[in-house]
Amino acid sequence: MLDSERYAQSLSPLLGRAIAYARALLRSRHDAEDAVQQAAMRGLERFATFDTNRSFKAWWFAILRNCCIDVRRDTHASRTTPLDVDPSDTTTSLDEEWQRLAAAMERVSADHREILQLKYFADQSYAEIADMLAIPRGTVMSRLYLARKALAAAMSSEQS
Amino acid sequence: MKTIEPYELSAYLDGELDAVRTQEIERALGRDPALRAELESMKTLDEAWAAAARTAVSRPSLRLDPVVGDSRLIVSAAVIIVGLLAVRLAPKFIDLMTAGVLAHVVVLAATLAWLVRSDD
Repeated sequence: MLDSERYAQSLSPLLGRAIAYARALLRSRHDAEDAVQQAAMRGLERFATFDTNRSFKAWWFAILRNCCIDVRRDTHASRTTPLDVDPSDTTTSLDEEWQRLAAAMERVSADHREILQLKYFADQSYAEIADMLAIPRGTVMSRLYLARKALAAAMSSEQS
Repeated sequence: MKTIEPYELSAYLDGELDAVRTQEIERALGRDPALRAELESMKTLDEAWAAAARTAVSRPSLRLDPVVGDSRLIVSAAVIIVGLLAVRLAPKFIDLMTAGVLAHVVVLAATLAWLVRSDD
């Protein structure tokens, strides 16, 4: 099997969550699809040097995160505040659900937000999060617990 | 059994503890209603957040074209080969000065093709 075929086979099951994660970071479906496309191409270029002892999911989502940063930087000038939402992304009540969650995550610290996005939007395991963030698994455990507490407080204060 | 830390309860909820510690926590949950209530509270929030995040999942249409770069490499190589053949055969049909000008044009075209490929 060609490298490109193996890459496409490994990537295919991750694409749904990739869009979810990118949408949480970028708050725009259009920008999220751009970032996912860029990450797909970049991953293909680098696949020959992928260490098979690593998790493919952790490796590729690290690429996606960097592509989201690039897309956000490129489109930042067109947004008035970081919390601006692409109007085309709130057309249904389902869209509002994840938007509310993503907005609440904006109110916690950057470290907590990052781990919450990886856990809930990217559906990463503790081992995958540890690999992506280059932190010990024990740190993931304690940081995620504290992040959940912070998120609960943020959502509770919004409701009150 | 050592004290159950709050972050361990969170990790238990995620199924991320080893088998021994999982069993210890399950025994503690069986004995301690306050611990069970704390777990239930965590679980309710976790399930709500996971369900909300799932609504952001959708399937993008992707383009993976690894052969595009390869095509351009082939074209660049073809330009260089044709150029070299032209330089080799041209003197049979045209004078030396014209052949020299043509050679320069071919080298310039090949260099531009290489630069375009490198920019992708």
